[in-house]
Amino acid sequence: MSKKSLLEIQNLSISLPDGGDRRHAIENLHLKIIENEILCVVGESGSGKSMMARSIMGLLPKRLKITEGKIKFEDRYLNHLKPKQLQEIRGLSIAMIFQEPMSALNPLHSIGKQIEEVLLLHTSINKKERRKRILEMLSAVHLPDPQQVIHAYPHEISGGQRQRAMIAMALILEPKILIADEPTTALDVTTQAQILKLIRDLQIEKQTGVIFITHDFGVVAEIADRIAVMKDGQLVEENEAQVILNSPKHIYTQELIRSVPDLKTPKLLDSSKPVLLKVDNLEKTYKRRRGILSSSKSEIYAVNKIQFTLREGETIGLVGESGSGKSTVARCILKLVSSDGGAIFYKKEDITQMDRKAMMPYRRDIQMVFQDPYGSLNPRLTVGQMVAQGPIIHGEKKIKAFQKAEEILDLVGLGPLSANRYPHEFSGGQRQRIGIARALALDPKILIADEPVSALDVSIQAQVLKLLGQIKQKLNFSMLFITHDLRVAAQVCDKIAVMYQGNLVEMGSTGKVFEDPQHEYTKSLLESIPGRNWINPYAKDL
Amino acid sequence: MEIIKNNTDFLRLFVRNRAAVIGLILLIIIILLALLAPFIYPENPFKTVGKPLLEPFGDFFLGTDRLGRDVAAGVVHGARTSILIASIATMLSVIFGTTIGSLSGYYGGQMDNLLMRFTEFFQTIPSFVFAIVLVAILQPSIQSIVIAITVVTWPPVARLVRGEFIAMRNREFVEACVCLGMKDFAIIFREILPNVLSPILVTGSLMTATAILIESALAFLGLGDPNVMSWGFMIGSGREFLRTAWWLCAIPGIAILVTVLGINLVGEGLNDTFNPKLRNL
Repeated sequence: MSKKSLLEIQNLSISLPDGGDRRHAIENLHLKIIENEILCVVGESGSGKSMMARSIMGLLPKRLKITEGKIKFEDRYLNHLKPKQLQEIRGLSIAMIFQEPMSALNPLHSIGKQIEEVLLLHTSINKKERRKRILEMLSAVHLPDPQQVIHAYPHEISGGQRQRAMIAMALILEPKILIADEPTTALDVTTQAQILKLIRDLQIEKQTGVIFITHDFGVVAEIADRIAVMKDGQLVEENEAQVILNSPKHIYTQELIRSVPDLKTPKLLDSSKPVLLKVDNLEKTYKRRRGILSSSKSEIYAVNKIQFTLREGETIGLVGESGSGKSTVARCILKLVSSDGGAIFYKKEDITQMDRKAMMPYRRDIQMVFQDPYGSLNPRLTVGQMVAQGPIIHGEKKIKAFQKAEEILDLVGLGPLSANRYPHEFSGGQRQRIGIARALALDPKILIADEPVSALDVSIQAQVLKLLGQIKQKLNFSMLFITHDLRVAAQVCDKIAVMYQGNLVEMGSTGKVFEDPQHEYTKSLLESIPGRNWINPYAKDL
Repeated sequence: MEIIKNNTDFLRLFVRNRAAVIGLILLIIIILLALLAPFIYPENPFKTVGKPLLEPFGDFFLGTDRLGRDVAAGVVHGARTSILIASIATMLSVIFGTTIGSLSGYYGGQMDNLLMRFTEFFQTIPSFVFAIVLVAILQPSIQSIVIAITVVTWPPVARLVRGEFIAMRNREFVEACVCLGMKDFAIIFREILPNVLSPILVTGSLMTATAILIESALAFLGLGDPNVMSWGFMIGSGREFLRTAWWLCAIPGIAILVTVLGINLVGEGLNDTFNPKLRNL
């Protein structure tokens, strides 16, 4: 059965301004969007996948120009249309949804008004009918209580609901093509699962052609009919989803799929090792005043009576969605924020009440690796200075500290020469290695890693995780690994602790939590993992 | 956006900005004149050298005032006074404001409350009136003028630095330093301060212009140091002859204008160089 092709990108090239690391954002790209089908465009950052989407909508930044090729929609060439003609197509025939619904929606207008805007622009139906259509659409995207949401402002609804509103806005005119640029990347995993299902359902119902741009192979496995893999502005491979997912031909696709962390990695537990860190009934509350005039305050539990123990050489994964309090636990252990109740024992000594001086020996033993590879390094210091800083503070001689810094930079795979360079000269993955080197310079007994790979591309992520595993085996420290990504957790951790709204709802060995989850929330979390039924063709050899 | 990697890059970007380069040239000329004043006009600028009220470009390059003093000597020596007072006052003001602002921004909470209320106390009094009162109480002298200018100009610096510190203190690299066990003062001065130096430099350079204006205004009102020549004093003493001898007010006035303009152009240029994103707006 041959389906009608909706949009054809023919030999498209977009040039970059001079002085960049490559000449073209997109080079000789051919792509077809077929009716009633989801085409997933996959690639790492800088692959040109978003540029491709923007070029269809005529939303390219001013500095970038289409130098060659055509974008054919129906019988017209989009890149040759006048702005006015393009406006008629945008929204009516081709709609787009973005990654960050908060910035894509106008905070000053209600949801209803913003959707109405689309109807006003492209249709001539009257007010009563417009309202009816909007309400229908809002319930079609499963927003609770459409009568209320129509009057709500973007900040009054949650991130997932905002994305639903965006989808409602995009689909209300039943466009032939929907372009979705990383629409679920900013969302929690359970919300992501719902939004993916919604897009899939609506696509089938309305027979829309969807271009779904993502970097996440799990999402791809969940939703794609056809897959196009992009790298450095070029199309690497394009085929039916099942073909690419199970037997990719191009070496780059193979490498990408190999980098996706595998879900099932049984780990052996050794529970005879001595306890290093014991978190006992830890509490952290935030106070919020109810109103400007009222003096009563309501307390919000960021962390509610959490307890767990970390043994020597063990890795515990602290898993949860945003706002679950997992980062707060880490910050309490490091005393970056003070805790409000409970105790934290390091080698049987309570560190919650210690002052800065008394903390010094523990500071040495507990180190942290941060999430943001850009914000976690001081841009004004050289890498060597940054790594040597710790030992110098703890009384090491300068020359020795710098020698050690070079050794450690070598250990994390950066080479000793990197010590004289500044952080901005390194890529995201390399910066994360610098962050790891800084933490390891003090020979810590415990490493707390707060989402250390979530800002990285999947192939870089795999490298950093591998490095962490190797170093851990070599230096034998314990690790508290905080992540929202269950695939990563499955790969790295011996034990998993699941947090939900400040509570620790389940804890157990990784294998047990994944195979036999007890708590309802853990179950829904596991069911939401995108592409959980897809079996990665490359067995893990880590 | 271009990133400044080292001093050469910085110079290259700065030089590209033509207005800033003109400002810098103006400023260098004025500073040179001020430095060379004792050599160009070795005599006391208060000394009578010729007939009173001679027009410019006659016997004397810029004419003479009502007591027969050389206006050109006055302008050159006045530059010394203005630049000396303005730069010292600005420096003190930036140091004081930065200290208050960084402590306030870094510690937050009660410390922030206390220091900011203290800052607001100075901000609520109209600054020029405050400066007049201070100089009047302390007796006009270079020191008292410097003190007065410092006292009325530091609060905006404190506010600016506080804001920058609040934005910086929760950055992960600061938290990393806490985790390493670094002392607060080391974090404030060695880690955060270098990162907020560029806005401080820009504000500081623009404040120098304000300081020159305040100094001139004080001298105009007769609150300058009576022992040193100053642009404000020259304008003040020449204002009765505005119609008959225009140059008495106009020439020191132009000197002030050119200096302030030069400083502002350089300040703007620094700002553009440090924040290249703003320039494209």
